[in-house]
Parts: sequence; C-alpha cells; structure tokens
Amino acid sequence: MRTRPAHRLITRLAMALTLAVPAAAVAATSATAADGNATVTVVHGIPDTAVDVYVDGSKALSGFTFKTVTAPISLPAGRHAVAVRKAGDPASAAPILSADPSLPAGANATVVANLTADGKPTLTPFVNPSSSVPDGMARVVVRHTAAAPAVDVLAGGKAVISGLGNPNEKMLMVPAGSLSVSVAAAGTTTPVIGPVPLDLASGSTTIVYAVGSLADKNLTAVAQTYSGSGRAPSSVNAGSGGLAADSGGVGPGAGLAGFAGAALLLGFGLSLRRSGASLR
Amino acid sequence: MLLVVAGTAAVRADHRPAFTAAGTVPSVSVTPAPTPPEAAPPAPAAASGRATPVPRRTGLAVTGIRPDASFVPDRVRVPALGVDAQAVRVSVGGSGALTLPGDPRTIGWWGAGAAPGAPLGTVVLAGHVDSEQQGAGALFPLARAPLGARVQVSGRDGDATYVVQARRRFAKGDLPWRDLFRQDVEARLLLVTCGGDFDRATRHYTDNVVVYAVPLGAAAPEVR
Repeated sequence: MRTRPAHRLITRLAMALTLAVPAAAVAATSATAADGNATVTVVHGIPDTAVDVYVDGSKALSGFTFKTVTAPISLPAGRHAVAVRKAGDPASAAPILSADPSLPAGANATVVANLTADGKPTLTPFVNPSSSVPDGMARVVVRHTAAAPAVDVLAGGKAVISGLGNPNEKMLMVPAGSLSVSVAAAGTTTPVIGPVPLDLASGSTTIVYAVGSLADKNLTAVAQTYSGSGRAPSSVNAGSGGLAADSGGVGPGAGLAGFAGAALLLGFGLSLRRSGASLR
Repeated sequence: MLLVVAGTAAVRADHRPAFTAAGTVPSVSVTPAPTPPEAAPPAPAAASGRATPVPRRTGLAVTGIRPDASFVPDRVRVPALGVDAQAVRVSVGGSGALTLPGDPRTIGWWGAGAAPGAPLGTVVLAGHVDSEQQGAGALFPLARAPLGARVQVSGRDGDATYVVQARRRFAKGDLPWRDLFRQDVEARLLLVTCGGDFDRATRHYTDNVVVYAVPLGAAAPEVR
C-alpha cells in the first residue's frame, strides 16, 4: 500500500463573508460540485502558538489555539490567500505562515498548521476522501503532522498502520462501532499518543491528526468526522452516435442510413471499376 | 477514388459481432444477507443473448480492519481492447442519470461510489460508446472485453489492476441499478457504456453494456 505524501498546496481557498464570524458559528455544509463550492476544515497543530488566520486579507479565525479543529467551512471554489499571524498582531504584521491554495468545486480539504518532522511550523493541505464508505463500515484516516519520527498505529494491541511518517497519511476501512487506537514509535508498542477512543458511525469518515512535538512531550491527537454519501445512479446514457448499434438502427431514418451505407459502398465499387481495379 | 466519409460511418453495424454475455458476476456481500433475502434482479432481456441470471453469494460477515488504498483515478487502460483514456470524476444528475463527460474519449469515474484501491465497494467507470459529433468513444470496444482481460486504473496517489470476470447487457429499462451500484460488496469494478440497437429519432441506444472486474489477486482461479 502506497503511503500518500501531502499534496502540493491546494491553491485558492475562496474567501466568503461567512468566514468573518467565529468558525464554530459557521454552518457545516457539504460541498457539491453542482453549487460550485468546496469545504475546508482548519486544524491547529502547533503547540503554544495562538494565531489569527486570514483568508484573502480578512481575518477568518481569531485566537485560534493548539488542538482546535474548526467546523467545516463552505467556500466558493477558486484560489485564496491564507495567512497565519500571531494572535493579536495587526494585519500589517508579517505572517508566520502563508499559503495560496486553489480548491476545485466539490473538493473537501483540510489545512493543518503543524510542525514538520524536525519541528518547523508549516501549513499542510490534505484532500479528504469522499468516495463511498459501505453501510456497517467506517473509514479512518491517520495523518502524521507532528514533530516526531515515523509511527505505527495500534488497535487491539497490534499495528494496523506501520511506518507512517510526517507529512503522510494512511487509511483504513473499519467495522462501525467503538475503536480504541494508540500511536507508537514505528516498530514499538509503547504508546506515545493514546489510547484514543474513536466512535465510528456507519458510513462515516474520521480523520485523526497526530500533532505536537515528541521532544517537547506534548504529542496528542485531534480528529474531524464527516459523513455523506451520494445516491446511486439509476441510469447511464452513454452514446449518441449510433456506430455501435447491433443493426441498421430502429426508428425514422434507420432504413435511409442503411441505404446511404450501401450507396457509399456502391459508389466505391463503381469508382474502382472505372479506375480499372477489381472489386475484391 | 471515392473516399469514405466520417471515418467509420459507412461500413459498420451490419458487421459488428453479436454480443455474448459471459462469466459470473462478482457480488460478494460484506454483511449477512437480510431476511427475508432480497429477490434476485430480473433476468436480462432476451436481446442480450444467452445471459444467465445474476448469481449472488451472501453471508460474508464484516471481517475487521482493512487497509484502504483508495485513490482518485485519472487514467484507465484495457490493453486487450486498446483502451487508454483519461478519467475524470463525475456525479449523478437530478434525473438520477450519471453525468458523463461530453467528450466520449474521456471516462467518468463516479466519485461518490468506491474509489479504486478501496477494499470494499463498487468502482464505476462509464463512458459514451460514441457521440454524434466525435465518433467512437474510449469504451467503443467494451462489448467484446474478454474474460481475464486486465483493467489498469491509475492516479496521482496510486494504481490498481482488475481482472474482467463477466460481461452483461441489459435493456436500459431493466438495468438492475440497485445491484450494480451497491457498495456493501467486496471490491469490484464496473465498466459501463451503451450498446444494443440505436434509435435514430432519440439518438439513444437501447441497452447498457456492463463489464465486471475484481482486483487482481481476488480473481476467481478459472478467470485470471
């Protein structure tokens, strides 16, 4: 199974006026390509650093603290400028972090303010899976966004994910219900995070972020959850040319088409005769 | 010398081989069958030839934690058919029809269905067999997909190979869509297009052609 690297920055987060209010008050809406919106969740994974988050020049999140996960934010698709400043700094102050993501319509993304493996602050975007989760199952995504070496994720005492490094992710399909997971240094079973109790609803996706710093002894996990499935198609109309038809086709013009086909063949034959070539 | 107009338009349909259904449809549930068991879907229309009723094995319990290697596909290849096409995410329109890319050379991946690489669910790849403007589409040869043919699906974050297990053709009004597009099954992949007779008045085909495949490694021994 391939370990997924963090995607290149998603360009353009469209800034909507709704971001001017505290994140918790923003209604969680599900993005659809049809309405031209995308959904973004923001995770604060940097210890000891309260920040203000600006999108397209306007302050979107005020006094955003470590271990906070916003509600999903619906934004028009497109490119947006994200700037992270120390909480309380004026808008003119240099940002600690900035990014220029672009969100296609219908995208579901998370941007994490986190530490790299060696402890530097950064912004890491992820595209969240929106493909189906069968009834009775739940999807669990684990993202390593902490200043720590590679980890294993343990459930029931054994590793269900092995060798996950910063800034990568791995996914599991799990029976719905309660699941307790812990995170250990790769190849070991002594937890450095957890146990973390997860309540996995049927059809849901839970994304667990390892955040913080091993060296500073503040490693922890935060999570976001969402659900949503599309209804199945009831029809597939896949052809308007008629080239694949079994026969000459039915309906008006069918006979004519056959005739036209024959006429072309006949014309071809006549021209061959005139040029002296033999038919077949 | 008189040239044939519009590519394949002149000599075609009368020489197209008849469709033959083949193989066993993969349909292994991941939850115990409900009681009473659901009725089997209606047998395919006579036009699709010697099709057998869709068999269904049920009763496999939920088996625990599985790696999920789901990825977003952007390319589909079926070397046995000469298919090599771009894939894009598509969704279901208001009428319940899957909204396919206008260009028949691009295949649509139903984004709310399963992703390739997932351990469970049905991956749906669909494309126009042809279009009035552009001629033959990427899935034009689908109806003759041989059992055992490889279907290679790839994307930025992964790739997966599937093996064809069955071919079916359904009159559109009889398309067993609840069965086809269900997600509570062991991983499988469908390639869907149109076929059968063509109604020139409406410019619609009468049938859907469906090719079923399972991940390499899960393929039945007799159909590798």
